[in-house]
Order: sequence, then structure tokens, then C-alpha cells
Amino acid sequence: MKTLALFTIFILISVASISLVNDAYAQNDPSILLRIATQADKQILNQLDRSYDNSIPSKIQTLYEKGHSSVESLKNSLPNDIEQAREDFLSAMKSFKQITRMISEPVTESKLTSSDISDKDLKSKLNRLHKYFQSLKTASEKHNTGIDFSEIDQLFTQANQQIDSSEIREATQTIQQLESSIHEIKKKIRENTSDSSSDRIKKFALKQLTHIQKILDKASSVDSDMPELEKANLLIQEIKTLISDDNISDAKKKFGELNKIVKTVKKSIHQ
Amino acid sequence: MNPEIVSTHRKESLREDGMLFVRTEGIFDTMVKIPLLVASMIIVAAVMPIQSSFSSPRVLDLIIYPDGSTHVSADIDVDPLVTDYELKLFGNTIDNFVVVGESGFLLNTDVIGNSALIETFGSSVITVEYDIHDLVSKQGRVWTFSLDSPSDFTVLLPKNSAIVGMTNLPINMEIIDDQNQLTLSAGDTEIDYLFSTTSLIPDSIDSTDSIPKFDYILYVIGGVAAAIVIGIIVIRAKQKIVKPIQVQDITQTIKTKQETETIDAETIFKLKPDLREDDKEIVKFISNNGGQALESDLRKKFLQPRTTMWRAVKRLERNGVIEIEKKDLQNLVKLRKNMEYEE
Repeated sequence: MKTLALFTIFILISVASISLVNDAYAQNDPSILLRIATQADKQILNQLDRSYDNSIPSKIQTLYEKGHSSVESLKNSLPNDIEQAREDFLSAMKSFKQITRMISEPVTESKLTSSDISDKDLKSKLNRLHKYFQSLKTASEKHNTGIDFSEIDQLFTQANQQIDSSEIREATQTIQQLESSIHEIKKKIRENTSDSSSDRIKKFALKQLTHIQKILDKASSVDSDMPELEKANLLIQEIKTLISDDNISDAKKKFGELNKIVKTVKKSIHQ
Repeated sequence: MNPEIVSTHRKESLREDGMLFVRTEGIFDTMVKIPLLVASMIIVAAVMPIQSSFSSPRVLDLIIYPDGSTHVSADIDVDPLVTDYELKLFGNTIDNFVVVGESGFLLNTDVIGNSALIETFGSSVITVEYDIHDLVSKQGRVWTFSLDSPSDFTVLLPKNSAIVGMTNLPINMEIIDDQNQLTLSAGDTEIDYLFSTTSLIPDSIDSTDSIPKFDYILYVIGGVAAAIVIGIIVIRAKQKIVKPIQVQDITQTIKTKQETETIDAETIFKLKPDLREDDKEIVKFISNNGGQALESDLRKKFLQPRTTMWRAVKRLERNGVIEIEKKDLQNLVKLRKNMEYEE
């Protein structure tokens, strides 16, 4: 027994050590901090040059010097002083964040044109839509629905070309057409897979009912006069009928009721 | 084990000054109730991994598009014994919501506000994908991504974006198709970025990788030392008690040696004729790689996104072809040595 106790303690300490190791490793790879901070430093310097040339406001200049010196300190802290490196990183990024907010406001309007934004938005929308379509297409192919996607593939190509040639209105229309087609496709996939989907739900429900029936049988052997038992058995019969009638939504509701009763029964058994 | 305290102990330890001394021999067995201790420890050990594996996403990947919308992709462990799973979404403005069960079925969902009710019906893992417009805001030229994540996650920033502010320490950074992908830990994260025309890919990606991870090493040394000390105690205790077990150990070693022979890819394909073609390619690669490979290496080799490769690996695990081990923070995928014919 002592050996077993020692072995259990050994296992516990090993598990705890592994989780500690994971946590410690999860903190960061220090070199990444330097890479990100250096990149941000360069970027901020570019922004300052572009916005102010040589007449940088003193407040911004001070902030930049603070951020830059944190990056320098970060370089020196690595690889030995990780804690200091983390502090330097956060300090540098905080300074850069403040600078960016201060310099971004006055130049916003002049730098971004409306056509740029439209192109970018449409491209993003199209990419998101394509990802969504890919998820549906994968599900469809997995279940051999035989749905033809060539029309939609063609619409994606068309929309891409229209965006590339800045035909914003046409691209918007094509994207609307795509949205509607993908919506229809989703419906079709559901219809085509409804049989196997329904089989899956039935299989799950029957398995669960068998499991619940065992609990009820056990409860019955403990206390056959328990009032919940009769109600639970009745619900099981109702669910079976609803499932055989393909009335899944009502079966689900009854399942909820049954689960609540089973919980009460379980509590009674354990008391 | 004798649970009774023998009365002579009391007589012996009662001294002139009236102080009561109790002999400590056997006190642990008597008072602490070892079976209870062992049982509680086993329960604690068993519960620890469960708490961290249920309900929070095991994979969470985000892609930020140039217009600030974000694509969320998550693989979530769910209880296969319940009919529904309620998922808290990261916001209210949701588009293109799709949930697929482990068998590839589109699951029925109902999105209300920032939560979604998903009819899981027996699925143990679900893949959720949606687009959201609540995670990125814009002030002037600065875009800010904010998320309070329940688990570690990756975020792929848009092309030509440069990080200029950050409130969280990143775990990792990769360059994917000229875009920065950060791996971040759970909790509040805020990333400020802006778009630029200058080159934004950081230099010398691997140059500093050799910097030692001191915390990690210290913890490993500590953990290993503790394990060795306790291991020695256990072994000594065992040696004192049961000698014949050594014979059994030798038999076990021979058996283990037999099992360590790697099965080649062709044999696996014969044993598992229903494997998908893309999965077969993965098996071939692992087999040629000495029977094991990191999941990250598989992703690089087959140019697959994290979620796709994860699903493939899980599929192979379900088929009994591979087993997954944790190595540091990564998944080590190993071909199984003892494989069975497909039923």
C-alpha cells in the first residue's frame, strides 16, 4: 500500500511538473519579442519621417526615445534576463502605441482614398465568402451529395476579376449573387444529407435511451415506488414514437424533460 | 497493517513531567488512512486533464481581413452524451456561421446575440467557423484587434500590416504567405497595427532561435530531479517487497522490444484499406521519417492550415494508425506499432 501511495505521489508530481513546464514554455520565445519590437520601431520611425520630417513634436520625440531605448534594452537583456526582456517589450510597445495614436489622426484622410477602401472591403468579403463556401463544399463532398459547384466557382473567378479591374458595381452584384447561391447550396446540402443526419440523431437517441433505461432499472430495484420512474418510462415511450415518426424537434424537447427526471432519480439513488 | 494503537506505547512515553509522547512508527498508516489518500490523489490526477480539455477550444485560429472583419475557426471538445452545446461567441455581428460535427455533418445551429445553440447529438468534437465584425476597431490609421480568449490562439494579421502596439506577450510568430501569424496565450489581448507600403516581414527569423529558454530548462531540471528521487524511492521499496517481479519485467521488456518494430506504410495500407488518399500521403511521410513527425512539420510539408492538419491527424488517430504524444508544446505524431485489421 505504501508503494502504491508513493507511486501515486510520483505520478502526481510528474503531472504537476509537466504542467509547470508547459506553462513556463508557454510564456514566450524571447527572440520573438525582439523581432516584433524591432519591426515596430522601424515602422514608427518611418511614420515619423513621413509625417514630420525633421520637426517632430517634443512630446512624440520623448515617447519615441523611450520606446527606442526599451528596444535597445531588450536587445541587451536577451538571452540572459528574460523577465527584463518582457518588461522592455511591453514598455516599448506601449510607447509605440501612444505615438501611433498621436500621429495617425491628422494624416488619415489624405492617405486613404475611398476607392482603396472599397476594393479592400470587397476583396475581404469575397475571401470570407470563399472560406464559408469551402466549408460547405467539404461537407457536401464528404457525403457525396453530388451537388454541382461549378457555377459558384465561376462566380468567384468573375468577382475576383471584377475587383482586380476596379469594376466595383459589377463586383458588388456578383458577390450578392454568390451570397444567394451559397445560401441555396447550404439548403441543398441539408436536404441531401437529411436522411443520414436523421439516422445519426436516431442512433444517438436510442443509445441514450438504453443508457437511461439502465439507470431507471437500477433505481427501480432500489425503490420501485419512486414517482419519477413511471413518468420517465412514459417519456421514453413517447420519445421512441416521436423518433420513429421523424419528429426530431419534439423528441428533443421530451429528451430535455427526461434528462431532468433522470437527474432527480440519480440523486435519489445516491442518497 | 494494524490500525490499533497498542496501549504499551502510552505507558512507555508517559514521563515524569507528565508529557505524553507517542511513537511515530505506523502513525501514518493509522491516522492518515492511506487508501483514502491514494483514492483522492488518483481522483485529483484524473480530474486535472479533464478540466482543461472540456469546453474550451482545443484549436482556435483567427484570420484578420484587411477590412477589419475576422474569421474565427475553432475545434471544440463537447460532451457526446448531450443533445445541445451552447457556445459563447466573441461578439454579436456574426456572418457565415457553420458548424461541422466530427463525421462531417453540418450541424443545426441557432445564433441568438452572442451565443449559438448547436445540436451536437453525439458528436465529441465540433468545428465551428464564422466571421465576426466586433474584434477590430479603427481609430485614425490605427487598427486595434481586441480579444479576451478562453484558450491559446493564433491570429493571422493582414498582408502589409505592421504591429505597432501590443499588450500581451506572444508565444510564437510565423510568416505565412507574407503575413504575420502570432500565437498568443489565453486572456485579454490587444494588438495595434497599421498598413504600410514598406516591407514588413521581420529580418532573421531563425537567427535568434538558439537563445536558451531558461525558465523552461529550470522547470524541466526541477521536474526531472523530483521524478528521479521519487522514482528511486519507489524502486527501492519495490525491491524490498517483491523480487519475482523482475522475471515479469524481463518478459515485459521482450514484449515491448517486439512492439517497437515500426510497421511500414504499405503494411498499414493493407491493414487499413479505407484510408483517404491524402491521409495515406501523411502516413508515407511519417513512415519515411522514421515512424514519427511533429504535427507542425506535417503542416509545413503538406502546406495545410493548422485545423485541416489537426483534423487529418485526429482521423488517423481514430483509425488506430497513429498515436499523438505531447512533446514540449507540440504534438508528436507516431505510427502505432500494434495495429489491427479494419473491421
